[in-house]
Amino acid sequence: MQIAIEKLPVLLGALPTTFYILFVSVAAALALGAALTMLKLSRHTVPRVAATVYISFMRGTPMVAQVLIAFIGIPILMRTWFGMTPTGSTNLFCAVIAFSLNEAAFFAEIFRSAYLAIDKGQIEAAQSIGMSRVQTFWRVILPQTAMSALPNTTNMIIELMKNTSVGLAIGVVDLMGMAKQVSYNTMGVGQTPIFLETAVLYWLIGIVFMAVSGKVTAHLNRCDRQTATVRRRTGGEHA
Amino acid sequence: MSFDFAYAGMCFAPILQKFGVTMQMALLSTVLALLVGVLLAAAIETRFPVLGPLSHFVCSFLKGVPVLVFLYLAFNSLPDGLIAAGLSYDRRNPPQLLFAVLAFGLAYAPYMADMFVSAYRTVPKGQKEACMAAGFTGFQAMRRIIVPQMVVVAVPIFGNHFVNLLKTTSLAYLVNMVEMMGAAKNYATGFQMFLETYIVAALIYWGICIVFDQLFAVLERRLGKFRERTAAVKKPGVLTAVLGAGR
Repeated sequence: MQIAIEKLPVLLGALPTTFYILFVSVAAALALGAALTMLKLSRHTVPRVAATVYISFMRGTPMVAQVLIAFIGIPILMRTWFGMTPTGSTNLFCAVIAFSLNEAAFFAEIFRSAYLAIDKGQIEAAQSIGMSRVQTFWRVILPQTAMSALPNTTNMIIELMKNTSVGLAIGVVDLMGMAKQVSYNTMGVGQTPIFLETAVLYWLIGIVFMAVSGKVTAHLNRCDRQTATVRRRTGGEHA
Repeated sequence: MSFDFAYAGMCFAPILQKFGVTMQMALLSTVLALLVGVLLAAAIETRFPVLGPLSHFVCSFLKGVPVLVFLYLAFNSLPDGLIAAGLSYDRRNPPQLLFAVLAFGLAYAPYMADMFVSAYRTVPKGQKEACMAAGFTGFQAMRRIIVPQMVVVAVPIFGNHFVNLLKTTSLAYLVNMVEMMGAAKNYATGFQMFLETYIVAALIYWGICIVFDQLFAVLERRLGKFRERTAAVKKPGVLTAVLGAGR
């Protein structure tokens, strides 16, 4: 117990790395996922097949395998394509790329189902009053897709926050990596308290994320009467 | 950059040899997750005063912690716990399967609980009241009326969780357990050719996941036969599932 309190600042010091990985991966994955969705919904076979195979691969292979392949493969690719050799550690860079690519596939599926749920009549109506395709997208499609996809997207982000612990496999020093290092440094003496502490930290971060996402979703859906009723009835449901 | 296809072809056998270990871990973990999930779901659905919030709390904790942390806790702390409980084991041969199954089972229990709760709630309340009115005991009601309907709703969700669990078992190699991923690492270390081995391992996992996805789709279709009201539409085959259908 003593050791847990001693090492708490050390563990907390690794939080910025965790958040950095999370935010950069999510930002890249959102962009890439949107692009993948558009590819998968395309009328032409080649982009559609390519996107489907990519999504199937990213969702069907373990995160560990993807992170390891990224760690070994990306420096090779950088060397042969760009002639760049890594100076310093490539852990963080490869981990972020692996997480972004993986998460993009999940986001693509979420965005696709949200997009397909929009009534086609709205798009036809928009075009019938003379809106261009770009205008239709920005004013009609995007807001509804975003609202519909938001709960699933925030759930995936929270899952990604847990999955970043897999960076341990390539030596990324985020919260989990720091916990492992601390347990090495103490020669395995206080492992149980340290890992329990790590578990509690992850849990607390997850709760904060879920609370924030719940508030944001409720606020953005405040005009939806059904949501308001659900909110009243199941006040204690979100743990 | 050269990709050694000949070597990659050699990688399949050693990795697939450990497929049994992976499946064993996945199946046992699923059983544990289902058992604990049923308990948690029953606690949520019951009208007992304290059990519901307690179960929510436990589910929240189990869901909020990464699987890797559970794995490390199981492999590092449980040995001391076992000794404290009076059970001894050979230090050179710890019961790795037990630790792994405990870690994965507990990590996936809240998801199974959520699955049970949502499946239970899709059965209309009127049916449960009718069971009481007809004089069924609770067990009879569950067995004859409620569970068959729950199963149809739960199977797709369960299939999803099972495939995720299968992929998550690959984490066990980080705690020195030899399953498919561990076999890949050992083989690669022998030849110092890591990229090809890991790509082959990823492809093997991908193939297994596709097979299980198709199996669960078939199961879904057969269980849901009583709900089909129109002539059955042929479901898309494996190729379409992987390569996508035209719009």
